[in-house]
Amino acid sequence: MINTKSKRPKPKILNPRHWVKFIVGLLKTVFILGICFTILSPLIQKFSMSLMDQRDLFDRMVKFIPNNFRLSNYPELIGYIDYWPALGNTVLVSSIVGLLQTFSTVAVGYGFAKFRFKGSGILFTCVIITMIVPPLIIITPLYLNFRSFDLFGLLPSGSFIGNIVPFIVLSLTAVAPRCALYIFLTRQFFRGIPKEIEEAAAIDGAGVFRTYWSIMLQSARSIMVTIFLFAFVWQYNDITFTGMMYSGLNSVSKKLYLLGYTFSAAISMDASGTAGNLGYMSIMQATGTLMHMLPLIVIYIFLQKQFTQSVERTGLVG
Amino acid sequence: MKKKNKRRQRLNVNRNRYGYVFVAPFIIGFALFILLPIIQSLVFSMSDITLTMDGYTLDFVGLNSYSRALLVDADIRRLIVNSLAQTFTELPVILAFSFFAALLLKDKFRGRNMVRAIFFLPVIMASGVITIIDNSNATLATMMNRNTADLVNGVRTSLSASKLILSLFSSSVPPAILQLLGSAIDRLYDVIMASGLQIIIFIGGLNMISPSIFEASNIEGATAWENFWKITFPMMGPYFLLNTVYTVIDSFVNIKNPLIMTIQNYLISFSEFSFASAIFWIYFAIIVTVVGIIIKVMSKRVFYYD
Repeated sequence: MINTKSKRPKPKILNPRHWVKFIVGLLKTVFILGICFTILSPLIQKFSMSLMDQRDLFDRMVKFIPNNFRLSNYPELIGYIDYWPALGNTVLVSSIVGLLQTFSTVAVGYGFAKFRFKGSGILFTCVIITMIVPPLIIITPLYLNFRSFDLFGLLPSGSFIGNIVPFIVLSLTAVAPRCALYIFLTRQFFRGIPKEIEEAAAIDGAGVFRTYWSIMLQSARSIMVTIFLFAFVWQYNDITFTGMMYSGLNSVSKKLYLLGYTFSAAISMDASGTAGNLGYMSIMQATGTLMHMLPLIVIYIFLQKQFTQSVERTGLVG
Repeated sequence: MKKKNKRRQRLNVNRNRYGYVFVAPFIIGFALFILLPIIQSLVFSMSDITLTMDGYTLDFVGLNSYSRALLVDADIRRLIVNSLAQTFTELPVILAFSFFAALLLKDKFRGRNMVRAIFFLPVIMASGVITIIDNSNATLATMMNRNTADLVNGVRTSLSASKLILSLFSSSVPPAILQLLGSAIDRLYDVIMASGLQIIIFIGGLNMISPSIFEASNIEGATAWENFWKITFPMMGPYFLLNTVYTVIDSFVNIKNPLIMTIQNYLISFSEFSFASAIFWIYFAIIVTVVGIIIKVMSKRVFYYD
C-alpha cells in the first residue's frame, strides 16, 4: 500500500486485481453461507416445527413461521418422555463414560507416541483393527461374555448386563466404541510435542509419570476436551450399544427412539385418522430431537473454543 | 564417547519400558473385548447357536452360512455391490468437498470462529439416535407425500433443483458423468454430514506446512496458483491417503449403510446370528482387501516431506 502511493495509484475501482479479489471473496462468502445454512437447516426446520400446530404442517403457505403458534408442544413432550429424570441419568452416565475414556485413551495415546517399546508397531495395528471392526459385530459376543462374566474364574460369576459395569470396564481399557479413534488422535497430538520438553523435565529430575501428569496432561488440555466431547456425545446419542448392554438405563435417546414406536403403534391401531396422528408424531419427534440436542449444543458452545483449538494443533500424519 | 552412547541407549531402553504401562489398559482391553469377541464371532459364523440359561451352546456346521449368503440369498450380493458402489461414488466427493472446505476455513476472515463451530457441528451431531430419527422422518415424509415432505426433509427436496441445472448441460456432457454429479449434488447434505472429521484432518495438515516454503517460492516469483498445485497439493498427499482410508472405513461401519442395516436386522434374532456374522466376515474381507489395495497404490505416489 505504501509503495503504490509513490507510483501514482489508479483509483481502486479501475484496478482489475481489486475486482478479482472482490469476486473471489464474494464466491467464498456465498459458499460458506450456503454450507452453514445446509448444516443448520435441519435444526431450523425442527425448531419451527416444534412451534407448530398440526394444521400448519399441512398448510402449504407455512414454511418456517407457523401460523398457529403452539408452545404446549414442549410441555407435552417433556411429559411423554419423562424428560428431566432421563436427562439427569443420561448426563451422569455419559459424563462418567466420557471422563474414563478421556483419561484411558490419552494415556494409551501417550504411550504410543513417546515410547519405542518392543511390539509397539503390532499393538498400534491392533488399534487400527479396533477402528475397522464395527461395534455391531462384537456386540453379541460381548453381550454373551458379560452375561456370564467371571474374569476367567477370578470373580464370583454374575451377570453384568443391565448395569453400568460393562461401560466402565470397556472405557477403562480404552476399547469402547470409537476409542481407537481417540487413541489415534491423542497419539498424533503428543507426537507434535517436541522431545526436548521431556528431556528438560528428565534433567530437572521428574520421573516418567511425573512428566506425564504435570507437563503432558497440562499441555494436552484442548485435545482432552475434544475427546471428552466426542465420547460424551457418542454415549449421549447411542441407543444400539446401550440398549443391549445397559437396557435398564432410561436415557433421553432411548425414550426418543421409543417415542416413534409408541406413536406408530397407536397409528396402526387407528387406521382412519392416520394423517393427523402422523403429523402430531412428527411434531413431537422434531420437538424431542431438539430437546435431545439442546444440552449438547449448550456444551458445544462452551467447549467450542478448545475444540477448534485442538483442531489447529492436531497435525495428523498417516 | 562410545561408552556414553551405550549408557544413553540403556537409559532409553529403561525409559521405553514405561510405554507398556501406558499402553497396558489397551492391551488388556484388546485381548478380552476385541480379539476374543472377533474370534467368537468367527466361530459363531460357522456354527448354530442356542441360548441356554447360563450361556450358550454351539453346533459346528462349517461354511453353511457363508454359502447361504453368497449363493442362496438373493439380496446379499446385490447389497454388497451396492454399498461398495455407494462408498466409492461418495469418496471423491467427500474428499474434494472437505479439502475445499479446509482451504476456506484455514484463512483468517471475520466470523471464522463461528463458521468453524458450525462446520464441525456434524462431527458432534451426526451419530446415534439423531441419525436414526432423521432417517425415519424421511420415510415418514415419503409416506405422507405432502407438504410435510418439504418440511421434514427440506434440504433434500429443494436440492432436486440440481437436476434442472444439470439437464441444461446434458447435450455436452456424457450422461454417466452427469448422473454421478447429479446424485452427488442431491446427496450434498449427506456428504457434508459425513465429512466433518475429514475437514478437521485436512486443516490439521494444512497447518503443518511450514510458511517458510511459501516464502521461498514467493521470492522465486511463483503465483498463488502454482503454489497451490506445486506445494500445497503434494504436501497434502498423506492426508488424502488418511482421509480416503477413514472415509471408506466410516461408510463401512456406518449404520446408514444398507448392508450394515441388514446385518443388524439379522442380529436382532439370535437364531440368525451365525448368518449375520457370516455376512459381516464376507464384507469385512472385501473391505480389508480394498483398503489394502488403496494404501498400496496411493502410498507409492504420495509424497512424504521428511
